Amino acid sequence: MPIDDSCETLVRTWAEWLKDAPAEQCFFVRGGGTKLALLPWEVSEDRDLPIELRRPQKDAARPPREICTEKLTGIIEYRPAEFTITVYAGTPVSEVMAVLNAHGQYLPFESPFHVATYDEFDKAQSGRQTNDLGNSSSRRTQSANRTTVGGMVAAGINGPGRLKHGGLRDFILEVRYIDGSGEIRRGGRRVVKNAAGFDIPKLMVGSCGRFGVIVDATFKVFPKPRDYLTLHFIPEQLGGTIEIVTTLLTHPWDLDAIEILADSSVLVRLSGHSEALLKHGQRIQSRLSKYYCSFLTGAQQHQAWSAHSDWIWGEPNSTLLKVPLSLRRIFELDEALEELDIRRVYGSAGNVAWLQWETVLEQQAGRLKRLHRQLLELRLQGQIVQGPCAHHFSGASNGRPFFDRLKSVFDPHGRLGFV
Amino acid sequence: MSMNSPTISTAELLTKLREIFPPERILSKRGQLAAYESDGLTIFQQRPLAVVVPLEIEEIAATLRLCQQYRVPYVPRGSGTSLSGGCVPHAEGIVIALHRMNRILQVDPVQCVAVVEPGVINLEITKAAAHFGLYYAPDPSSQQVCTIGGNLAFNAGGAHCLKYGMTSNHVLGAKVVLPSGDIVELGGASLENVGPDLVGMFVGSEGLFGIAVEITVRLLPKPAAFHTVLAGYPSLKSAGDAVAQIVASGLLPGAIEIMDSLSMEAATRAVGVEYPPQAKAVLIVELDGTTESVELEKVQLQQLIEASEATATLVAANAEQRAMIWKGRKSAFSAVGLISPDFLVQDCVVPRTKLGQVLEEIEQLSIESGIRVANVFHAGDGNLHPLILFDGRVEEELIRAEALSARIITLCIQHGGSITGEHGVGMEKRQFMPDLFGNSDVEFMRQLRLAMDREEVSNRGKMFPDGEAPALRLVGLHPLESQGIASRM
Ligand SMILES: Cc1cc2nc3c(=O)[nH]c(=O)nc-3n(C[C@H](O)[C@H](O)[C@H](O)COP(=O)(O)OP(=O)(O)OC[C@H]3O[C@@H](n4cnc5c(N)ncnc54)[C@H](O)[C@@H]3O)c2cc1C
Ligand SMILES: Cc1cc2nc3c(=O)[nH]c(=O)nc-3n(C[C@H](O)[C@H](O)[C@H](O)COP(=O)(O)OP(=O)(O)OC[C@H]3O[C@@H](n4cnc5c(N)ncnc54)[C@H](O)[C@@H]3O)c2cc1C
Repeated sequence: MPIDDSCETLVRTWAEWLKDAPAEQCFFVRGGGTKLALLPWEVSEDRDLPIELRRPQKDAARPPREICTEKLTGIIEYRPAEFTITVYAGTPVSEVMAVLNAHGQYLPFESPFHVATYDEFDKAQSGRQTNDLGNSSSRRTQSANRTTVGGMVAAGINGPGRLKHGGLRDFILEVRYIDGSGEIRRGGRRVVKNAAGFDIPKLMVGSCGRFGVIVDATFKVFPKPRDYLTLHFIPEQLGGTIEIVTTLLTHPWDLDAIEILADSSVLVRLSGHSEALLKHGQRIQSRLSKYYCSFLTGAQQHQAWSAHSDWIWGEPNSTLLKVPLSLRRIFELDEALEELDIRRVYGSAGNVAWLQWETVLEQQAGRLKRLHRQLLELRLQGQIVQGPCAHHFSGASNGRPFFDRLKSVFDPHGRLGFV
Repeated sequence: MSMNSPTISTAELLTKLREIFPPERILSKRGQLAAYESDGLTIFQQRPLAVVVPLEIEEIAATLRLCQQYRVPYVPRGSGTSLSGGCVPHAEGIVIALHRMNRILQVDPVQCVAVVEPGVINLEITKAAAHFGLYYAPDPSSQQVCTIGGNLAFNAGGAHCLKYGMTSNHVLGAKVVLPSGDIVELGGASLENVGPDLVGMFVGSEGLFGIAVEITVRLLPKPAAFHTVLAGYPSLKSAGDAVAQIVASGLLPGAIEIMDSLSMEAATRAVGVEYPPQAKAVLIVELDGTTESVELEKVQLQQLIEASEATATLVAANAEQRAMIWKGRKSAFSAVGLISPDFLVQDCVVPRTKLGQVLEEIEQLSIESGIRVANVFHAGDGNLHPLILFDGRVEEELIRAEALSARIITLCIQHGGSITGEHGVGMEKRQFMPDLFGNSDVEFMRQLRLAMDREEVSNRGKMFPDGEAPALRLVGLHPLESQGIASRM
């Protein structure tokens, strides 16, 4: 699985673009293009938007130039025994998951049930019938299949698996990227442990393309758990939800995922040997016996997680906002959202809120403004992941001087986006 | 005086420092400074102009503004246990000693985080969290003495990194004073953030991007069960093969460690741990998790070990036996002081599957140079710690030992590894940075540093190859090791 000539030619071409273009020429990277909200500059899709929702232009006379990673695909090196995989940035995440899956490995920050699409991909590869679960939204399936590795890193979004082993930031080991001046650079090392030099791979996580065009990335991978069991707790009120999650967090139960759904019920996932799971699940249930709880396995389990994933990703006409949070602050945020008529679920045991509403163009700017004010008041930050918006960051902003200084070196002319 | 020299005299500097600190927290007498001349890598030493001991963030910010304005180099210092010369002072500069900023500000058992000052000792966090059944996972074997600030700056590791990651994986947020004196907050108490991972970029920056003054770390529930096995092998290679089998089986142990016969001999002499007779290597594997899962996984592990070339196996039957296995392992470094007057600790990484080959090559290099090498390593993540044994009284032996050490580092780079897995670059390894990253990327990193600190006052002379080198001196045990408080790992 060597370096691919056509990919390398692409990389060199982009580097030349960046090197040769005048300082005012800006660029943006498009991976699978499933998260247009995260693009830094005004793009052709924005043309029909009301002016207040349009993104900035650096130079009206020069439209931003697109770097599309669609053809930058392939696995450069996969060493199962090393727990490492290196892939080109345009490779669909589903393809990486399928390759890892064939070796009993996975990227732990992703939900293993993240969309039945990964299973579908498997089956499509081997020519079998797809989707025996019949429960995944086809629109979401399409977008999930197009999601690229570069986009995944640049967006910095984790799935429910974040809770146990860590997020994308904890599994990225090395990146190759083109900086804003057109130099091809590398940060990190392709080994599972390294303490030399600045941790540039981590900086790329959540960077939305503003520090460089990611060309390839190396991840640490883990052996996939043998089996899963899901417990679904249904408390009557949010207070009960918080109590359940607090109890879950403070016991040595080695839980894979804890997600709070829109109806305030709690999905808890355990992983490991099938024989151990049931006993373990019963122990947890008995500790929380005052709450109604059902055990989900097999297709039911898939369904529950797919529905949850659907809630977040399956509404293309909605606006989706990510807000990092802590369990203690759920009440505050919940109260604020009530007034704004915004739906929400809480992922990773209350560490992230996903806010969602149906996009109505005429109301969008006003709504974003109100939400922005609320988040500022609560000293929270948010990021619009889906839906039309002029700026995808909202609320409080920390660390600005540190960011600006880094940015002045990675992209001195600010061609890769400033927001 | 170099071009970068301070634009202020020592006397003026002290006057200005007195505007920030009360007299008892400015040390400038010879005797007071002696303790700050060196760190865990005792071959480098340098007396600073003064040491200041802040208690407040604002004192640090004022000091950094002063240093920036008058180009005075400074070195942040935690406990000074760095093994790469990370907190060796600069002759024209000051040391900012953070050990008294050692309050645990908050332990939040619901969010599972602790907020601490930088001078808090690593193990103290676990002690404070124990009450809630939580602990702080990164466990460098200096954890009884090293500070969380030093851990953050070096991205410290320990024996459990494959499964649990390093310091950077457990630091969620940090309040930082940049070299300009600006105070910024990176990350926070949440496991999630939006925008680039700025706190991730700061961790491991070796003090070059500024000083961490308040740190938010993740706490984990203490595993309910452990299962620790020690197995003897006829060769390092056969122990290495067993590691490959364990990893291939899909098990994810909390720790996988290997010791060779020289380190076993040393550990036996130091702490009395007995190892299987005739074993040329021992493998230590520790499973952790829920009681149910450990019960099942231990059967699987036993089958794997039985199928390997293990000559003898010891399973820890209780907490004391487990502690004893770890005591032997963690004492191995300082214990080699009993079988050699002096030694250098190396810290480098190779892809795990290359371990066997690299160890053979190290052995060959050792034979060629006539310098003995003991090996203790984190086999699970390919992190080698060759201990290079020599006698500083013998002419040129230190030089030969250093040459061997350099050859080992080069070997690791050639095999696609890294020059450090956990001890940092500091002064010791800065000349290898271009070999690892190439000149252009090292220069780029230097530009990043300059963007934060245009006068290069923060930890000047570290990480980048062209820094000014203080004098070398002979090696010996770290004072903490001689007291048996800590060991290198
Ligand atoms: C568990 C899990 C489940 C998910 N499920 C879904 C799902 O079902 N449906 C769904 O739509 N999303 C899902 N996501 C989110 C999705 O993976 C990310 O949003 C990802 O960013 C989309 O990738 P993309 O290739 O479409 O990126 P794009 O939309 O093309 O780009 C997103 C951002 O990344 C930047 N970017 C893209 N490529 C690069 C590069 N090579 N270098 C630098 N910057 C780059 C862009 O400039 C832009 O700022 C999921 C994520 C996780 C972790
Ligand atoms: C006996 C022994 C055993 C060891 N075992 C291990 C081990 O198992 N694993 C491992 O990883 N390391 C180990 N080490 C190395 C050392 O303990 C670690 O590097 C540790 O992280 C250093 O912590 P410290 O408080 O002593 O920091 P110091 O040595 O005081 O400083 C280390 C570096 O951090 C900088 N620094 C300190 N505080 C701050 C701050 N608040 N903000 C910014 N920069 C700061 C300093 O300038 C210096 O560059 C060992 C050392 C010894 C002596």
